[in-house]
Amino acid sequence: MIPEGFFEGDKRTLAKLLTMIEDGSIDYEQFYSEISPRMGKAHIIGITGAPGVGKSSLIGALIKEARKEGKKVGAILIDPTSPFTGGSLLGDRIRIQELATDDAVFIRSFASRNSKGGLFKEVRMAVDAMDAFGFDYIFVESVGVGQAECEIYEVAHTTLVLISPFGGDYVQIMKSGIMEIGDIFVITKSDLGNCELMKSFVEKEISSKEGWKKVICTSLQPPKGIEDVYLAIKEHRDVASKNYGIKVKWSIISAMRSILEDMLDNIDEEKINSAVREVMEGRMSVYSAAKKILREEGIEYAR
Amino acid sequence: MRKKILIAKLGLDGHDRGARIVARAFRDAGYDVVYTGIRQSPEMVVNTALQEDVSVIGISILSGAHLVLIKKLLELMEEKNLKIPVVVGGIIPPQDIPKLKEMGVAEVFGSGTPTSKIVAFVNKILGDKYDT
Repeated sequence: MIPEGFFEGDKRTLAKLLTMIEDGSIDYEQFYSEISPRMGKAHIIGITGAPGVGKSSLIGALIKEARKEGKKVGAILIDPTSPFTGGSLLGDRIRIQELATDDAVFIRSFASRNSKGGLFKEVRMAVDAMDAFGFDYIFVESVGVGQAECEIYEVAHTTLVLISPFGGDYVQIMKSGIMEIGDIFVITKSDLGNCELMKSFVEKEISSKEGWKKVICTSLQPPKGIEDVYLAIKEHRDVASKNYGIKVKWSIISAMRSILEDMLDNIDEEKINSAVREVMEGRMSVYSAAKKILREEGIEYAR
Repeated sequence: MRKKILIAKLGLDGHDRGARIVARAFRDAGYDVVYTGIRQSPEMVVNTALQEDVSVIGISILSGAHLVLIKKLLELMEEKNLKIPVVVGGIIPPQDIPKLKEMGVAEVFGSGTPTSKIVAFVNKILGDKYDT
């Protein structure tokens, strides 16, 4: 199943494998039995934040830092799918296109499809394929997110949450959700001002939490703070490997949820319609109708 | 059929309105559209197409350098064994259209072409020859 040449570093075969993963036309067990001996080497870095905050641009700058050390880098960039047409505009690459001719860099864009967590459904498999291919770093960029999309935290060893210097007052920073998942908080576009104030909000917030966390101000024009972010990522690696078990646990739970959702999408419409009639005519409650359908699908769960 | 298209501005001209209009049209037709932006070299386009595993390349070019750059692009694709159709749009003098087609370009669309015509053409060639 793994295309010939993959383990010899042929990037074309990686591209083809990622397409198979994206299409869902891959046998999980066979895939993992073939690649797992090569997995576990890469440092996976998740980047998330609001649209336009500077995720792709920061990834570009960080890849350049990694290249100075001769590291091999893969990047997975995700943009949203239209709920109306199914199409997407994958425009993240435009920020880092100058890296397109670097042989040690591989960049792949994905559409989010029907995933709601800011990534796409098979992102972990895509990351694992890149890991087995032999990259030192793998960057995963989520779609531009709001406040609640935390899936990236499960996939990444190190999560960077990007905040604009004008991203709101201290109450915004106190909110649950993505403000809780950052290992490194990056205040971008510091050349626009207000960065130190935003930094103080974030510092105050994380001082009440346990564990390794950092806040760094950056700008790309002129470049500032990028090396600090890169160093922080490297420093976090040891911390990250200790906490990875809990992330895998959450990932398994997420995967179960998505498998169940798939199953629900495939239930015969007629079965649901007949349950609708039963409920409308007062012979059944909504809850018991749902349980009956699930029982017929082989799921026995009563609570 | 896999609907993933690369839209790229090949060469040094910086006018990308046409490329963006075409990118939007494909997005709205249900394609995943990878947009590279302006000032792409043939190497950048070919590497991007390989890594993204797109099923078709759309090139926008208004600089007048189409014969040189498209030739280089197609040679690189040949060299890397990348066998996907290339569609060209922009300001192309009528006498150059047969030359581009002879080189291996699937079709050339000049300014004023309705986007629906471009999308219909790409749908057709992907459905016909490149169904996966």
